[in-house]
Amino acid sequence: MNTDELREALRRDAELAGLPPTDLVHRVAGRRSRRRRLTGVVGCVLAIAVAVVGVSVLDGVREQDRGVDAAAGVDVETEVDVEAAAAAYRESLANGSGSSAASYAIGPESLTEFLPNTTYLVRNGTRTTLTDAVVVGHVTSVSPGRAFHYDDDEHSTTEVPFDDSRAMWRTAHAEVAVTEVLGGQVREDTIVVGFGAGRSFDVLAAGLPALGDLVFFLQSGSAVYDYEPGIWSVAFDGSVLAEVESDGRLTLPAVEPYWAEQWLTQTPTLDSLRAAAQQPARIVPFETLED
Amino acid sequence: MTMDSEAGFADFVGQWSPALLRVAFLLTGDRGLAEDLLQTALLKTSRRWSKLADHRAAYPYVRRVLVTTYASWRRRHRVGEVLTDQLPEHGGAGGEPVPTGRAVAALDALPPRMRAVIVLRFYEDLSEADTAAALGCSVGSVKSQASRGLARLRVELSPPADLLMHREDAS
Repeated sequence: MNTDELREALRRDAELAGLPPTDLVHRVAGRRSRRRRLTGVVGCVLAIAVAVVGVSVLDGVREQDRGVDAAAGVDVETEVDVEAAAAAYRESLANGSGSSAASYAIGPESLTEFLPNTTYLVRNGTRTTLTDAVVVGHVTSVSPGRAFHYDDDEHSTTEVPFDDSRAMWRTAHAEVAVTEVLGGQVREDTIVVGFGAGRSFDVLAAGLPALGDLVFFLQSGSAVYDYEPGIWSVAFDGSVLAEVESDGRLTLPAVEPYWAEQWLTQTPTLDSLRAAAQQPARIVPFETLED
Repeated sequence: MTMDSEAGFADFVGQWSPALLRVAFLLTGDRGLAEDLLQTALLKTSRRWSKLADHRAAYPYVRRVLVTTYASWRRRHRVGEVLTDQLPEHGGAGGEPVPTGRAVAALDALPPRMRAVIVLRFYEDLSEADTAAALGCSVGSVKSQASRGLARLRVELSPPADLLMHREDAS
Protein backbone atom coordinates (compact mmCIF):
# COMPACT_ATOMS: atom_id res chain seq x y z
CA MET A 1 0.00 0.00 0.00
CA ASN A 2 1.46 3.35 -1.00
CA THR A 3 0.37 6.78 0.17
CA ASP A 4 -1.85 7.37 -2.87
CA GLU A 5 -3.70 4.15 -2.14
CA LEU A 6 -4.05 5.23 1.48
CA ARG A 7 -5.44 8.62 0.40
CA GLU A 8 -7.97 6.91 -1.81
CA ALA A 9 -8.96 4.46 0.95
CA LEU A 10 -9.38 7.26 3.47
CA ARG A 11 -11.52 9.30 1.08
CA ARG A 12 -13.73 6.30 0.43
CA ASP A 13 -14.08 5.45 4.11
CA ALA A 14 -14.73 9.06 5.08
CA GLU A 15 -17.86 8.92 2.94
CA LEU A 16 -19.19 6.28 5.33
CA ALA A 17 -19.79 9.14 7.76
CA GLY A 18 -22.74 10.22 5.65
CA LEU A 19 -24.28 13.63 6.16
CA PRO A 20 -24.47 15.49 9.44
CA PRO A 21 -27.90 15.99 11.03
CA THR A 22 -29.80 18.89 9.53
CA ASP A 23 -30.49 20.38 12.96
CA LEU A 24 -26.83 20.62 13.94
CA VAL A 25 -26.98 24.37 14.56
CA HIS A 26 -30.01 23.93 16.82
CA ARG A 27 -28.29 21.15 18.72
CA VAL A 28 -25.23 23.33 19.28
CA ALA A 29 -27.46 26.22 20.30
CA GLY A 30 -29.30 23.87 22.67
CA ARG A 31 -26.07 22.77 24.30
CA ARG A 32 -25.02 26.42 24.61
CA SER A 33 -28.26 27.35 26.31
CA ARG A 34 -28.05 24.30 28.63
CA ARG A 35 -24.58 25.49 29.62
CA ARG A 36 -25.91 29.02 30.12
CA ARG A 37 -28.71 27.68 32.33
CA LEU A 38 -26.16 25.66 34.25
CA THR A 39 -23.98 28.73 34.64
CA GLY A 40 -27.03 30.61 35.92
CA VAL A 41 -27.82 27.85 38.38
CA VAL A 42 -24.18 27.75 39.45
CA GLY A 43 -24.35 31.50 39.93
CA CYS A 44 -27.42 31.24 42.13
CA VAL A 45 -25.97 28.33 44.07
CA LEU A 46 -22.71 30.23 44.33
CA ALA A 47 -24.49 33.23 45.80
CA ILE A 48 -26.20 31.02 48.36
CA ALA A 49 -23.00 29.09 49.01
CA VAL A 50 -21.05 32.29 49.53
CA ALA A 51 -23.58 33.37 52.08
CA VAL A 52 -23.59 29.98 53.78
CA VAL A 53 -19.80 29.67 53.66
CA GLY A 54 -19.58 33.11 55.11
CA VAL A 55 -21.72 31.94 58.00
CA SER A 56 -19.67 28.72 58.22
CA VAL A 57 -16.45 30.66 58.34
CA LEU A 58 -17.82 32.86 61.09
CA ASP A 59 -18.96 29.72 62.90
CA GLY A 60 -15.48 28.33 62.42
CA VAL A 61 -13.98 31.39 64.05
CA ARG A 62 -16.35 30.95 66.96
CA GLU A 63 -15.34 27.28 67.17
CA GLN A 64 -11.71 28.30 67.16
CA ASP A 65 -12.46 30.66 70.00
CA ARG A 66 -13.61 27.58 71.87
CA GLY A 67 -10.37 25.76 71.01
CA VAL A 68 -11.70 23.70 68.09
CA ASP A 69 -10.07 23.87 64.66
CA ALA A 70 -13.02 24.07 62.32
CA ALA A 71 -10.83 23.61 59.23
CA ALA A 72 -9.88 20.17 60.46
CA GLY A 73 -13.43 19.04 59.88
CA VAL A 74 -16.78 18.88 61.53
CA ASP A 75 -16.61 16.78 64.65
CA VAL A 76 -19.55 14.38 64.47
CA GLU A 77 -19.40 13.80 68.20
CA THR A 78 -20.58 17.34 68.81
CA GLU A 79 -24.19 17.74 69.68
CA VAL A 80 -26.18 17.91 66.50
CA ASP A 81 -29.67 16.86 65.63
CA VAL A 82 -28.65 13.88 63.52
CA GLU A 83 -32.06 13.25 61.98
CA ALA A 84 -32.49 16.90 61.11
CA ALA A 85 -29.02 17.07 59.58
CA ALA A 86 -29.66 13.94 57.52
CA ALA A 87 -33.05 15.25 56.42
CA ALA A 88 -31.55 18.60 55.42
CA TYR A 89 -28.89 16.88 53.37
CA ARG A 90 -31.41 14.57 51.68
CA GLU A 91 -33.54 17.59 50.88
CA SER A 92 -30.57 19.41 49.39
CA LEU A 93 -29.88 16.36 47.24
CA ALA A 94 -33.50 16.11 46.16
CA ASN A 95 -33.51 19.79 45.25
CA GLY A 96 -30.34 19.35 43.23
CA SER A 97 -30.22 18.17 39.68
CA GLY A 98 -30.44 14.49 40.64
CA SER A 99 -28.65 11.85 38.68
CA SER A 100 -30.26 10.72 35.50
CA ALA A 101 -28.81 7.89 33.48
CA ALA A 102 -29.82 9.89 30.42
CA SER A 103 -27.21 12.48 31.38
CA TYR A 104 -24.30 10.12 30.87
CA ALA A 105 -22.77 8.29 27.95
CA ILE A 106 -23.39 4.96 29.64
CA GLY A 107 -26.86 4.46 31.08
CA PRO A 108 -26.79 1.57 33.54
CA GLU A 109 -29.96 -0.46 33.98
CA SER A 110 -29.18 -1.59 37.51
CA LEU A 111 -26.97 -0.84 40.46
CA THR A 112 -25.04 -4.03 39.76
CA GLU A 113 -23.60 -2.39 36.66
CA PHE A 114 -21.78 0.04 38.95
CA LEU A 115 -19.89 -2.84 40.54
CA PRO A 116 -16.31 -3.29 39.34
CA ASN A 117 -17.11 -6.83 38.20
CA THR A 118 -19.16 -5.37 35.34
CA THR A 119 -17.09 -4.23 32.38
CA TYR A 120 -18.51 -2.35 29.41
CA LEU A 121 -17.14 -3.28 26.04
CA VAL A 122 -17.35 -0.23 23.77
CA ARG A 123 -17.56 -0.65 20.02
CA ASN A 124 -13.95 0.31 19.36
CA GLY A 125 -12.74 -2.36 21.76
CA THR A 126 -12.27 -0.10 24.76
CA ARG A 127 -13.18 -1.68 28.08
CA THR A 128 -14.31 0.38 31.01
CA THR A 129 -16.00 0.04 34.38
CA LEU A 130 -18.22 2.62 36.04
CA THR A 131 -16.37 2.37 39.34
CA ASP A 132 -12.98 1.32 40.63
CA ALA A 133 -14.22 0.21 44.04
CA VAL A 134 -17.41 -0.16 46.06
CA VAL A 135 -17.22 0.02 49.82
CA VAL A 136 -19.55 0.15 52.81
CA GLY A 137 -18.69 2.65 55.51
CA HIS A 138 -19.69 5.80 57.30
CA VAL A 139 -18.48 9.37 57.20
CA THR A 140 -16.64 10.39 60.35
CA SER A 141 -15.84 13.98 59.43
CA VAL A 142 -16.09 16.48 56.60
CA SER A 143 -13.64 19.30 55.99
CA PRO A 144 -13.46 22.08 53.42
CA GLY A 145 -11.51 21.10 50.33
CA ARG A 146 -10.52 23.57 47.63
CA ALA A 147 -12.23 26.31 45.66
CA PHE A 148 -11.61 27.23 42.05
CA HIS A 149 -12.35 29.95 39.56
CA TYR A 150 -12.54 29.33 35.80
CA ASP A 151 -11.78 32.10 33.35
CA ASP A 152 -13.73 31.42 30.18
CA ASP A 153 -11.68 33.81 28.05
CA GLU A 154 -8.34 32.56 29.24
CA HIS A 155 -9.49 28.91 29.45
CA SER A 156 -7.64 28.68 32.71
CA THR A 157 -8.55 27.47 36.17
CA THR A 158 -7.09 29.05 39.27
CA GLU A 159 -7.44 28.06 42.88
CA VAL A 160 -8.91 30.67 45.18
CA PRO A 161 -9.48 30.72 48.94
CA PHE A 162 -12.37 28.49 49.99
CA ASP A 163 -14.55 31.42 50.98
CA ASP A 164 -13.55 33.60 48.01
CA SER A 165 -16.51 35.11 46.20
CA ARG A 166 -14.90 34.37 42.83
CA ALA A 167 -15.04 30.62 43.48
CA MET A 168 -17.13 28.84 40.88
CA TRP A 169 -16.95 25.43 42.49
CA ARG A 170 -15.82 24.05 45.78
CA THR A 171 -14.89 20.64 47.05
CA ALA A 172 -15.24 19.04 50.45
CA HIS A 173 -13.30 16.09 51.83
CA ALA A 174 -15.18 13.39 53.71
CA GLU A 175 -13.22 10.98 55.86
CA VAL A 176 -14.84 7.56 55.56
CA ALA A 177 -14.35 4.64 57.92
CA VAL A 178 -14.53 1.58 55.67
CA THR A 179 -16.28 -1.41 57.20
CA GLU A 180 -16.54 -3.64 54.12
CA VAL A 181 -15.12 -3.73 50.60
CA LEU A 182 -17.66 -5.09 48.13
CA GLY A 183 -15.46 -4.74 45.07
CA GLY A 184 -12.16 -3.29 43.88
CA GLN A 185 -8.95 -2.74 45.76
CA VAL A 186 -9.24 -0.71 48.96
CA ARG A 187 -6.79 -1.71 51.65
CA GLU A 188 -7.07 1.25 54.00
CA ASP A 189 -9.51 1.32 56.90
CA THR A 190 -10.02 5.04 56.34
CA ILE A 191 -10.29 6.76 52.97
CA VAL A 192 -11.00 10.30 51.84
CA VAL A 193 -13.89 10.84 49.45
CA GLY A 194 -14.39 14.13 47.66
CA PHE A 195 -17.77 15.81 47.26
CA GLY A 196 -18.88 18.95 45.49
CA ALA A 197 -19.56 21.57 48.14
CA GLY A 198 -21.46 23.91 45.88
CA ARG A 199 -24.87 23.45 47.48
CA SER A 200 -23.99 24.21 51.07
CA PHE A 201 -20.91 23.18 52.94
CA ASP A 202 -22.48 23.14 56.37
CA VAL A 203 -25.47 21.06 55.23
CA LEU A 204 -23.06 18.62 53.58
CA ALA A 205 -20.71 18.56 56.57
CA ALA A 206 -23.48 17.86 59.04
CA GLY A 207 -25.59 15.68 56.77
CA LEU A 208 -23.08 13.18 55.41
CA PRO A 209 -22.05 11.82 58.83
CA ALA A 210 -25.68 11.79 59.88
CA LEU A 211 -26.61 9.37 57.10
CA GLY A 212 -24.94 6.48 58.91
CA ASP A 213 -23.92 3.44 56.90
CA LEU A 214 -23.53 4.16 53.21
CA VAL A 215 -22.46 2.25 50.13
CA PHE A 216 -19.92 4.33 48.22
CA PHE A 217 -19.55 3.65 44.49
CA LEU A 218 -16.07 5.04 43.99
CA GLN A 219 -13.88 6.22 41.18
CA SER A 220 -10.21 7.06 41.45
CA GLY A 221 -8.29 9.60 39.43
CA SER A 222 -11.05 12.18 39.02
CA ALA A 223 -9.72 15.35 37.41
CA VAL A 224 -11.67 17.38 39.96
CA TYR A 225 -9.43 16.11 42.73
CA ASP A 226 -6.16 15.89 40.86
CA TYR A 227 -4.70 18.32 43.40
CA GLU A 228 -4.61 15.34 45.79
CA PRO A 229 -4.52 12.04 43.89
CA GLY A 230 -5.44 9.86 46.88
CA ILE A 231 -8.95 11.28 47.03
CA TRP A 232 -11.74 9.05 45.76
CA SER A 233 -14.85 10.43 44.13
CA VAL A 234 -18.39 9.07 43.95
CA ALA A 235 -19.60 7.91 40.54
CA PHE A 236 -21.90 10.01 38.38
CA ASP A 237 -20.85 13.33 39.84
CA GLY A 238 -21.25 12.22 43.43
CA SER A 239 -24.75 10.85 43.13
CA VAL A 240 -24.31 7.07 43.32
CA LEU A 241 -24.32 6.85 47.05
CA ALA A 242 -26.66 4.36 48.72
CA GLU A 243 -28.01 4.68 52.22
CA VAL A 244 -28.33 1.43 54.17
CA GLU A 245 -31.56 1.40 56.15
CA SER A 246 -31.83 -0.43 59.48
CA ASP A 247 -33.47 -3.42 57.75
CA GLY A 248 -30.73 -3.60 55.12
CA ARG A 249 -32.72 -1.96 52.33
CA LEU A 250 -30.85 0.45 50.07
CA THR A 251 -32.02 3.90 49.01
CA LEU A 252 -30.42 6.32 46.56
CA PRO A 253 -31.16 9.82 47.85
CA ALA A 254 -29.25 11.65 45.12
CA VAL A 255 -30.73 9.77 42.18
CA GLU A 256 -33.95 10.69 40.39
CA PRO A 257 -36.75 8.47 41.73
CA TYR A 258 -37.40 6.88 38.33
CA TRP A 259 -33.81 5.71 38.01
CA ALA A 260 -33.46 4.88 41.70
CA GLU A 261 -36.41 2.48 41.45
CA GLN A 262 -35.02 0.89 38.31
CA TRP A 263 -31.47 0.56 39.63
CA LEU A 264 -32.62 -1.02 42.88
CA THR A 265 -34.94 -3.59 41.32
CA GLN A 266 -32.30 -6.34 41.18
CA THR A 267 -30.47 -5.38 44.36
CA PRO A 268 -32.86 -3.76 46.81
CA THR A 269 -30.77 -4.67 49.86
CA LEU A 270 -27.15 -4.66 50.95
CA ASP A 271 -27.21 -8.46 51.06
CA SER A 272 -28.35 -8.69 47.45
CA LEU A 273 -25.74 -6.15 46.35
CA ARG A 274 -23.07 -8.08 48.25
CA ALA A 275 -24.13 -11.27 46.45
CA ALA A 276 -24.00 -9.50 43.08
CA ALA A 277 -20.51 -8.23 43.87
CA GLN A 278 -19.34 -11.79 44.39
CA GLN A 279 -20.55 -12.97 40.99
CA PRO A 280 -17.97 -13.71 38.28
CA ALA A 281 -16.91 -10.76 36.16
CA ARG A 282 -19.16 -10.07 33.22
CA ILE A 283 -18.86 -7.98 30.08
CA VAL A 284 -21.70 -5.81 28.85
CA PRO A 285 -21.62 -4.73 25.19
CA PHE A 286 -22.29 -1.02 24.90
CA GLU A 287 -23.38 0.68 21.70
CA THR A 288 -25.37 3.78 22.49
CA LEU A 289 -24.24 7.25 23.40
CA GLU A 290 -25.84 10.34 24.79
CA ASP A 291 -27.43 12.84 22.39
CA MET B 1 -23.36 36.17 19.39
CA THR B 2 -25.14 38.90 17.48
CA MET B 3 -27.83 38.09 14.92
CA ASP B 4 -25.32 38.63 12.12
CA SER B 5 -22.70 36.43 13.65
CA GLU B 6 -25.32 33.77 14.48
CA ALA B 7 -26.35 33.76 10.85
CA GLY B 8 -22.70 33.57 9.83
CA PHE B 9 -22.14 30.67 12.17
CA ALA B 10 -25.19 28.86 10.81
CA ASP B 11 -23.93 29.39 7.27
CA PHE B 12 -20.55 28.04 8.24
CA VAL B 13 -22.07 24.94 9.83
CA GLY B 14 -24.26 24.35 6.82
CA GLN B 15 -21.37 24.63 4.41
CA TRP B 16 -18.59 22.89 6.28
CA SER B 17 -20.13 20.40 8.69
CA PRO B 18 -20.20 17.53 6.14
CA ALA B 19 -16.45 17.86 5.60
CA LEU B 20 -15.80 18.21 9.32
CA LEU B 21 -17.97 15.19 10.07
CA ARG B 22 -15.87 13.12 7.66
CA VAL B 23 -12.69 14.18 9.47
CA ALA B 24 -14.33 13.40 12.82
CA PHE B 25 -15.38 10.00 11.53
CA LEU B 26 -11.84 9.14 10.45
CA LEU B 27 -10.58 10.26 13.85
CA THR B 28 -13.09 8.28 15.89
CA GLY B 29 -14.08 5.43 13.59
CA ASP B 30 -17.61 5.67 14.91
CA ARG B 31 -20.50 7.64 13.40
CA GLY B 32 -22.09 8.48 16.75
CA LEU B 33 -18.84 9.55 18.36
CA ALA B 34 -17.96 11.56 15.26
CA GLU B 35 -21.22 13.47 15.49
CA ASP B 36 -20.66 14.11 19.19
CA LEU B 37 -17.10 15.23 18.54
CA LEU B 38 -18.28 17.60 15.81
CA GLN B 39 -20.99 19.06 18.05
CA THR B 40 -18.46 19.61 20.82
CA ALA B 41 -16.01 21.28 18.45
CA LEU B 42 -18.75 23.52 17.03
CA LEU B 43 -19.93 24.37 20.53
CA LYS B 44 -16.41 25.46 21.50
CA THR B 45 -16.11 27.41 18.27
CA SER B 46 -19.46 29.13 18.72
CA ARG B 47 -18.25 30.67 21.96
CA ARG B 48 -15.32 32.23 20.12
CA TRP B 49 -17.11 32.89 16.86
CA SER B 50 -17.49 36.63 17.32
CA LYS B 51 -13.74 36.83 18.03
CA LEU B 52 -12.70 34.97 14.91
CA ALA B 53 -11.38 37.78 12.74
CA ASP B 54 -11.89 36.05 9.43
CA HIS B 55 -14.87 33.69 9.27
CA ARG B 56 -13.73 32.50 5.86
CA ALA B 57 -10.69 31.01 7.57
CA ALA B 58 -12.78 29.31 10.25
CA TYR B 59 -12.50 25.81 8.81
CA PRO B 60 -8.85 25.30 9.88
CA TYR B 61 -9.73 26.71 13.29
CA VAL B 62 -12.62 24.30 13.81
CA ARG B 63 -10.56 21.43 12.44
CA ARG B 64 -7.89 22.20 15.01
CA VAL B 65 -10.51 22.29 17.79
CA LEU B 66 -11.83 18.97 16.48
CA VAL B 67 -8.42 17.33 16.56
CA THR B 68 -7.40 18.65 19.97
CA THR B 69 -10.79 17.73 21.46
CA TYR B 70 -10.45 14.25 20.00
CA ALA B 71 -6.98 13.89 21.52
CA SER B 72 -8.28 14.86 24.95
CA TRP B 73 -11.20 12.40 24.66
CA ARG B 74 -8.87 9.61 23.72
CA ARG B 75 -6.59 10.38 26.63
CA ARG B 76 -9.53 9.89 28.94
CA HIS B 77 -11.00 6.84 27.26
CA ARG B 78 -7.95 4.98 26.11
CA VAL B 79 -7.11 1.84 28.02
CA GLY B 80 -4.76 -1.06 27.46
CA GLU B 81 -3.33 0.08 24.18
CA VAL B 82 -0.25 -1.93 23.24
CA LEU B 83 2.40 0.00 21.38
CA THR B 84 5.25 -1.52 19.43
CA ASP B 85 8.44 -0.10 18.01
CA GLN B 86 8.70 -2.89 15.46
CA LEU B 87 8.58 -1.39 11.99
CA PRO B 88 7.81 -3.56 9.00
CA GLU B 89 10.47 -4.07 6.40
CA HIS B 90 8.02 -3.89 3.55
CA GLY B 91 4.50 -2.88 2.71
CA GLY B 92 1.59 -5.07 1.83
CA ALA B 93 0.94 -6.76 -1.44
CA GLY B 94 0.20 -3.40 -3.09
CA GLY B 95 -1.66 -2.70 -6.25
CA GLU B 96 -5.03 -3.78 -4.89
CA PRO B 97 -7.53 -1.28 -3.54
CA VAL B 98 -8.12 -1.39 0.19
CA PRO B 99 -11.62 -2.73 0.80
CA THR B 100 -14.11 -0.11 1.93
CA GLY B 101 -14.10 0.28 5.70
CA ARG B 102 -10.69 -1.32 6.21
CA ALA B 103 -8.74 1.93 6.35
CA VAL B 104 -10.84 3.51 9.06
CA ALA B 105 -10.76 0.25 11.01
CA ALA B 106 -6.98 0.12 10.65
CA LEU B 107 -6.71 3.63 12.08
CA ASP B 108 -8.01 2.20 15.36
CA ALA B 109 -4.61 0.58 15.84
CA LEU B 110 -2.89 3.97 16.01
CA PRO B 111 -2.40 6.15 19.08
CA PRO B 112 -4.47 9.36 18.90
CA ARG B 113 -1.80 11.84 17.84
CA MET B 114 -0.45 9.45 15.23
CA ARG B 115 -3.98 8.90 13.94
CA ALA B 116 -4.55 12.65 13.78
CA VAL B 117 -1.30 13.11 11.84
CA ILE B 118 -2.30 10.45 9.31
CA VAL B 119 -5.77 11.96 8.86
CA LEU B 120 -4.47 15.50 8.46
CA ARG B 121 -1.56 14.55 6.17
CA PHE B 122 -3.23 11.97 3.95
CA TYR B 123 -6.91 12.82 4.09
CA GLU B 124 -6.85 16.58 4.53
CA ASP B 125 -3.66 16.77 2.44
CA LEU B 126 -2.04 19.25 4.80
CA SER B 127 1.67 19.90 4.53
CA GLU B 128 3.91 18.75 7.36
CA ALA B 129 4.16 22.35 8.57
CA ASP B 130 0.37 22.86 8.52
CA THR B 131 -0.18 19.53 10.27
CA ALA B 132 2.30 20.57 12.95
CA ALA B 133 0.49 23.88 13.37
CA ALA B 134 -2.88 22.17 13.65
CA LEU B 135 -1.62 19.78 16.29
CA GLY B 136 0.59 22.25 18.10
CA CYS B 137 3.73 20.14 17.70
CA SER B 138 7.00 20.27 15.77
CA VAL B 139 7.44 19.35 12.12
CA GLY B 140 9.91 16.70 13.21
CA SER B 141 7.24 15.12 15.38
CA VAL B 142 4.82 15.10 12.43
CA LYS B 143 7.43 13.42 10.24
CA SER B 144 8.17 10.68 12.73
CA GLN B 145 4.50 10.12 13.59
CA ALA B 146 3.56 9.95 9.92
CA SER B 147 6.38 7.52 9.18
CA ARG B 148 5.51 5.22 12.05
CA GLY B 149 1.80 5.56 11.36
CA LEU B 150 2.21 4.55 7.74
CA ALA B 151 4.33 1.60 8.74
CA ARG B 152 1.69 0.37 11.13
CA LEU B 153 -1.11 0.93 8.65
CA ARG B 154 0.78 -1.16 6.12
CA VAL B 155 0.85 -3.97 8.62
CA GLU B 156 -2.83 -3.52 9.44
CA LEU B 157 -3.87 -3.37 5.80
CA SER B 158 -1.64 -6.11 4.50
CA PRO B 159 -3.34 -9.34 3.49
CA PRO B 160 -2.77 -12.05 6.11
CA ALA B 161 0.42 -14.04 5.59
CA ASP B 162 -1.45 -17.30 5.12
CA LEU B 163 -3.47 -15.70 2.35
CA LEU B 164 -0.28 -14.58 0.59
CA MET B 165 1.08 -18.08 0.90
CA HIS B 166 -2.10 -19.45 -0.59
CA ARG B 167 -1.84 -17.05 -3.52
CA GLU B 168 1.75 -18.06 -4.19
CA ASP B 169 0.77 -21.70 -4.02
CA ALA B 170 -2.08 -21.10 -6.42
CA SER B 171 0.15 -19.36 -8.90
